[in-house]
Amino acid sequence: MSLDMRQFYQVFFEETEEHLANIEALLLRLDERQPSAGEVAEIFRAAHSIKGSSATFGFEDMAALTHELEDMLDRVRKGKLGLTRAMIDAGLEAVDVLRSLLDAHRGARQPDTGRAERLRQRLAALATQAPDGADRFQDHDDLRRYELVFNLTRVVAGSGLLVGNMLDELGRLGELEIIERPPAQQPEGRWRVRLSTRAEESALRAVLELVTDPGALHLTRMPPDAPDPASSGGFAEEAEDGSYTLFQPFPPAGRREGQPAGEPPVGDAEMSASQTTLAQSPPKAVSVASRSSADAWIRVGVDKVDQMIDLVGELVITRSILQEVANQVDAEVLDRLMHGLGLLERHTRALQESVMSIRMVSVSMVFGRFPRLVRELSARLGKRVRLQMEGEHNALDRGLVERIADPITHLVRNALDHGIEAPALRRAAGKPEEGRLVLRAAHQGSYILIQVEDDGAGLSRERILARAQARGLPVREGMSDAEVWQLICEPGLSTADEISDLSGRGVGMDVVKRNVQALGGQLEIRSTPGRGTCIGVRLPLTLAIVDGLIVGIGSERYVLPFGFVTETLQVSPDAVVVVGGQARMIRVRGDYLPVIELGRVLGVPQAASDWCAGIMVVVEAHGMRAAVLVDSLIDQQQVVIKHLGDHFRRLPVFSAATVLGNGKVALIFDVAGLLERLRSGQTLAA
Amino acid sequence: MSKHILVVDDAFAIRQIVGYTLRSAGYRVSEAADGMEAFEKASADVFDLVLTDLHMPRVDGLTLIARLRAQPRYRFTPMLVLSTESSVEAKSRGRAAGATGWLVKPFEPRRLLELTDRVLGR
Repeated sequence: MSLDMRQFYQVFFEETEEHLANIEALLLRLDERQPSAGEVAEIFRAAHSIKGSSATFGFEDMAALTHELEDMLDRVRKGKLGLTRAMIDAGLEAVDVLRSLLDAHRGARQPDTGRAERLRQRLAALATQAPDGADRFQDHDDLRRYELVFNLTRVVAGSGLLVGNMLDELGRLGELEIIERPPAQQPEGRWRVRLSTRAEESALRAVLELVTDPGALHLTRMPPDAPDPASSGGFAEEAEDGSYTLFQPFPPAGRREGQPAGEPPVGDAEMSASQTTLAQSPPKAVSVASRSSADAWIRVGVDKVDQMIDLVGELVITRSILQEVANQVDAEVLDRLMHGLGLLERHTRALQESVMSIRMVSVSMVFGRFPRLVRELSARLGKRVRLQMEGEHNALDRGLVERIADPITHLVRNALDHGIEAPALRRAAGKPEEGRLVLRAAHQGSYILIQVEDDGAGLSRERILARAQARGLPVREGMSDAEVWQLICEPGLSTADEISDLSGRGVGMDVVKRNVQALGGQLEIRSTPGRGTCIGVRLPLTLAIVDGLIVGIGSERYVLPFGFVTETLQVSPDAVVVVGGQARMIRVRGDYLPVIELGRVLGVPQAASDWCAGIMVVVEAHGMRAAVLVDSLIDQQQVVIKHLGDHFRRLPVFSAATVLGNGKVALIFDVAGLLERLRSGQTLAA
Repeated sequence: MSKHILVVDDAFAIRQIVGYTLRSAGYRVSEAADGMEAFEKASADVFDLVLTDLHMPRVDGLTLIARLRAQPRYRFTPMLVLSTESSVEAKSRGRAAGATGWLVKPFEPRRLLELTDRVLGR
């Protein structure tokens, strides 16, 4: 038969990526002085799995490299080699190289075969090299091999559970190998096992003396490289190419056709006689609670989920079309129609939530890369940093995860580079030499907040203000700290070369901010001089559908995302602050708010210009408020976000578009961006 | 009724390929991601053949075979190991645990079918 492997490539790629991420995280967590046996075993298993799969898929380069990694880990796992820093480093490099080979097989780039080969040799050298220059024979001194021959006491031999316990107990002492055991029908009998262990002979005896017949335990220490008697015994059949081995005779491959159709069932008495002796069945079953697998799950392609999300979006639009029609029917029908529409909305919302949740992945998908980054960057900068992660198990939309990774990486890099001071400086400031970097993810309503917090030097208000002034950025007296910190996101400040000494961040912060805003998010900055800085990225949990306030401006309709709207009101003439004959601001309960005349900004015909005749929608984003003048409030409803094409992106006041019930496209305002431009004095118009 | 095979491997990609190969030869195939899940499935159902990987989380392949062998209904069921390991020593351990045979990864679909057909007497 022919088998087209390509149809399974995608699964292999994804699975291998997961394994690599796992190996990387485990390697970073390993303490080479006291490696956890469980973690080493887990890394070994992941490497082994990659080897098996990549060999099966014919990706020989990956299989060859993982083979060496696995081999090295196997020796560590069995206690033949001590774990060293060099091994961890080589392991991490192996992760990188395997990732690049994986990309190469995806067709993304050329594989660096030279690097892979060099690393393969390095791993092989590490695996054969004993620590402290000792050769491998001395290792064997450390690791002793014993052969144990014993009969179990009657009570133990009769119980599968007790036998299982004994085997587990021995397995904990080292690598256990069962050479011989009594068949199941005959619980009492001779056991012969081998154990490679570092434990003392007395420990072995302690385990077995409780369960064996007195005087029946024979313990022999074996020479390190003694030939294995079991291995010298031949097998019933071995395929000529070595691809398989049969431990007992079976009908030859070629004779299948000659067999009668109704072949005897396996387990038939004739066969059982020969199999019983060869299979060496253990005593009665070890009991395991038999329950159906609780976490049944399936793996589906992201494209299928995206398709569902699109369909839910269409459903939302369909509902608004029906809603639009409902407004034209007579009262009697309307009642029932409205009831149905209400149900439809509720169900659509529920459907949307469950579909969105399918796309949710753990924040650790983003955070997972940082231990490595922090380790390498702090070593390069000569700093000592302890990374702490909180809430990484929170879920985030997969699309967001992919797009948020870069901005967060930038923030982490900045915190290490400019936030956390060198050890000597920290000591002088009376702080512990080891800096602390916290990555935190938390849910806040329909938002997720990701924070990067350091206990470094903090931002300097004076220096930022001085620098901003020198660059001609709008700076006024009495700016709040929050406003001053936002200045570091100004392009003028960020791109300046000398910015990295601005107590500070700055490098590329404008880009970070822009990326975050493009996702409908906000950047929040807190800082205390000498105590540290915390930068938060607040993102909407879902990207596809938001609650929107639909407003009318002239004959046009626009959408204001409801999350930014705090209230709507009409102002009386005495609340309008007029300076030099021009209306400048409105007063709302003692606060003065700037007014954005959207209609004028956008040049919409017949848009309201009379502040008292129109309606003010008060919006708020990162601590700033303003009032938006509109003609009318049309509706409040869910809207489906449709991303704007590239040429639309140049319109700075809009973040996206949506389709309304009447089939018309309405633009969605980028409230955060709008306020930002207002604050920085940039023109609002496109 | 076609023979029912339990394929045990922690790699989803391998399970897919092995499963696909066996299904296209007319076998019925169930899958398990490790020895523990396999043991549970094997206890709830009866399989004509168990094809298992060696290294897996929770319960490894040889322990699975030893445990299944202890159950009367699996005393004579063919159980094959599918592993990248090919040393005589590893195979001996497989035999001692009660395996029927050993297939080396990477496998050729043709060889896999040849072996399964033979141990199932097809």
